[in-house]
Amino acid sequence: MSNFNLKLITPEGEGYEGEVSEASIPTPDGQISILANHMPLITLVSPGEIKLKTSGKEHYLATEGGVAYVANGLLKILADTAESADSLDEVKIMEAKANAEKLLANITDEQEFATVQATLEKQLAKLSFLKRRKRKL
Amino acid sequence: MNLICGGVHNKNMPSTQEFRRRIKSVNSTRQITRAMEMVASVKMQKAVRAMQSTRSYIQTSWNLLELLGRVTSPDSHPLLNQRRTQKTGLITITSDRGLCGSYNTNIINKANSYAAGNVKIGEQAEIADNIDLVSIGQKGSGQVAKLSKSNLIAQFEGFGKEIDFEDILPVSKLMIDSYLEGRYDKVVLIYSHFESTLKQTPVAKQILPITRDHIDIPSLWEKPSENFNNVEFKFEPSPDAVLDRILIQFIKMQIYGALLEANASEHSARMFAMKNASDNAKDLINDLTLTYNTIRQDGITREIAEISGAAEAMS
Repeated sequence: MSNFNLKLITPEGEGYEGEVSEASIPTPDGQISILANHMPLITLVSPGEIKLKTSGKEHYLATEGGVAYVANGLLKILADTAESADSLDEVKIMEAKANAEKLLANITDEQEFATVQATLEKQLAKLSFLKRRKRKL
Repeated sequence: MNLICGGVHNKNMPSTQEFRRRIKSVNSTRQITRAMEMVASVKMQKAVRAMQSTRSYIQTSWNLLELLGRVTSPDSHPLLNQRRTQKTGLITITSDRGLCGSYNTNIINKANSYAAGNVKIGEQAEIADNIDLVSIGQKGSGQVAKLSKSNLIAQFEGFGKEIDFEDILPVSKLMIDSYLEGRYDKVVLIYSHFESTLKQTPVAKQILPITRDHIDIPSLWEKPSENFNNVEFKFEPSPDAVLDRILIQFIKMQIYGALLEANASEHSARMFAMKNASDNAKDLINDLTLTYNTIRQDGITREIAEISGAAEAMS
């Protein structure tokens, strides 16, 4: 399988750079897989799990969302965050999730509700990612 | 009597002991200021590194924005719409801690002249009738609150150490929501631009609405921007949805970037303030040591004179 270049960038710096044979990204329409010579595409990235395949090995990263594009043989992912299973702290995520749930229970404002719900969704995505990966390790 | 005491006789002069005490105290102050200087220098380097690592993200977002500008209609997004300025949201970034020379004063002066209508952003002159202030940093808040024609609506603290991207989200949410709801027609950021270790200038930058004129994508950046001219993109779910996401991220990045620059500037200012203090302490120690030695020598000379005088009288 032929490879292509991938660059993952977060606001705090460059997260990952290198050749991969396949990348799987969470989008609003579901998980999409990108192989070499993919057609030019710009897509939103949803909170979830980014899966990268390099020469037989698989890498998993949790993201809170962002934007990705494929062009000129390069896949660039602009992610709000990108964390591997090792760097995630389950306790912290549980805390953030509990906080968001507590807030959600007391909110009447529609807009705020949406924001908190988004936070909750992000934490849940991280948590399910972590649970899946930890089991495999 | 004098012969036995052997001390200093002139009542107006402080004693050598007094001088020793003073030298010691100045010296310990100098040790503190030197330590602070070194700490500030390390922190500044860290902040500069953090600043540089945002470039890649900002540049890529900007490339995408330019591309999206071609495929979406120019008025398609409210964050891009120019409105007549009736009310401005002003964010000022000062430090949480003091001992950084004129750093905070410079920011406050800039904010003052902005409120007085003396700062031009872009081409049009500002008539700042009505300003809502959001102050970041504890030190500046008190003075910023006294600005004319304005009222302080929010104050944020605790950005002095390492800044995470997530830390700025409350600020950006407040500003973006207020702008979209029409409470502000413009959002301006006043912070210290870090040009180099030696030079930091307070600047006022418009972050909302986003216009091409107000964004400086430094031409010095190492990587050339990507060329999308011949690429036909497919958009998921739609160009407008992607535009919305990138615009909001872009505004957050502007605030985040400004905070990192302010942070680097603050540490740099503190480093120089502490360096000056250490240098002054050194001069002071030299002066005091010289005076101390003079007094000590005077005492010795006087004693010898007295001893020889007494010896002569006895012989």
